[in-house]
Amino acid sequence: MTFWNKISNAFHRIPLWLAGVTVGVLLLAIGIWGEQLEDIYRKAVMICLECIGIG
Amino acid sequence: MKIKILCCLLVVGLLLTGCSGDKGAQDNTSAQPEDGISAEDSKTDDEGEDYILTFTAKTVEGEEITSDIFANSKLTMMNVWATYCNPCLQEMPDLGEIAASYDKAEFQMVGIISDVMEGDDVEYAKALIEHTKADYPHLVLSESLYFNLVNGVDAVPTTFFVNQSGVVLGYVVGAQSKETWEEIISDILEQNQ
Amino acid sequence: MKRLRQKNIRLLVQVIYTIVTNGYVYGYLTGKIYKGKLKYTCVPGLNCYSCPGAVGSCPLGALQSALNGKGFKVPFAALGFLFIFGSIFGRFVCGWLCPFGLLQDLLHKIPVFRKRKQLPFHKVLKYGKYLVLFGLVFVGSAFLFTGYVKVPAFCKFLCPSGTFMGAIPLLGANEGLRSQIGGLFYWKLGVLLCLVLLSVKIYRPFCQYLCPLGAFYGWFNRFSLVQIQWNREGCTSCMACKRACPVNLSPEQISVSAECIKCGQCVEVCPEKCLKIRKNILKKR
Repeated sequence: MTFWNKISNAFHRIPLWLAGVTVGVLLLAIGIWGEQLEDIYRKAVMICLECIGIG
Repeated sequence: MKIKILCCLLVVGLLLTGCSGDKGAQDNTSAQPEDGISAEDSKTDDEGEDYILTFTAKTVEGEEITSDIFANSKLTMMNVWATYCNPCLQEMPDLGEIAASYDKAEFQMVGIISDVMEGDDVEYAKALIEHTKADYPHLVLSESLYFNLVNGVDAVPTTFFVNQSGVVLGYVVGAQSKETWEEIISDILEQNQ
Repeated sequence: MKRLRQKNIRLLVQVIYTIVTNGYVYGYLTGKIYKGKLKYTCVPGLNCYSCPGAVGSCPLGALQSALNGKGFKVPFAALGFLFIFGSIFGRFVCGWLCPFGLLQDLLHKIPVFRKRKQLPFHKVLKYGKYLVLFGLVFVGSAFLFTGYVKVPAFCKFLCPSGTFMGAIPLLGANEGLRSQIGGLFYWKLGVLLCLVLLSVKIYRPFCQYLCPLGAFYGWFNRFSLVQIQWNREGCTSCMACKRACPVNLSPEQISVSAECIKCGQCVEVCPEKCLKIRKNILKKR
């Protein structure tokens, strides 16, 4: 088997859900590195009244 | 039957941990005057303890300001806002006009930007301030400002009224019209001659 | 000890989940929101941060708040949470881990009106949730300026879960906020009331026709870890599962269709025991 066939086979054995979780973890990691969690937190503890439909 | 009892206990247990699970961020409520005030009524409880606000912070321009500024004016209006909040930004032009219409010894306006910390990039906030012509000092969040005032604020905009001695007289949640603010301000100034 | 029926287990899980994610009792008592570190993380189902009891952030709220930022930012963190929950659960979240789903389930049990599973024109209306996802959540939050800055369009204009679990308790416990109620609130209250009434007759109308989160997780249904496996060989095509299924799915569609909320009603009624809630087995593709 060629090198690329081996890689392809190994890749096909990964269940899709696991690939999805890995992608999710990677995206989350990028988000944390870009300080996006701070933004989520800030807006979650200091409510903009318009955003929830009041005022 | 046993499972049902177990589940009830679990639910009760979870409810109780829900209360104390929070790591103390909420325990600073001793710093807040308990009663909310409506747009019209701005007096606090006479029996309640006076809350004296102290802090040090920097303005968006980098100037250092402390709670000593309260002594400079009979009434200080501190408007807590955020760069993502439309209602805050929409009332700021009015606040700028109100600030300009009073003599500084009588009444002064201070903005507090709740989502810009010391050391953060202030360019966006400064652009918004310019765009809304909110021509009064705006403070960037510092530790003392956060723990002594902003931590108890749940929603923006929230506005506090402070007298000369640094006592927080009351607060108003939500944006108001220019007329409402002017009414509130003149009411407080009259009552606290 | 009577063995708990599967649908009672589901109800229990839904109730416990709701209590755990929205059980900050101190918030309800004082009208203030939770500000602790847990709000750095998102929970799988709808969870408005304005709920005084909420201890975690809403994945849709997080997604929209990132899109609201200056310019155009890819919402990596929020998408990360969504991919993780979607890949593991798919729409199992809808069936077991969403407080608003629980509300609609309970409303549907109220014994008035002849019950129907779906609205007329279901085949077209079911795409409404994708319209909400793209129109409000993505395009609305990324591009719509309603003043100086952008807003979370789904939260602001539509989300009934936010009105029911967030705005109403907050206004109930916090007097000072009531002066801020305006026309927008009445619109959202109207939306909530319509869905509440509709839920009594139709099964989960919000989930089937409007929920953008359900639309998103639906894409993961086919390959998520949690699946309802169908033993094709043992099936006698009696369609008991389809009759029991609250969204009327046939055996081939169960668990893989974007409409399946993996509630497991089908599992219980199958006379040949062909359906089982299982992990997705490792298969060579």
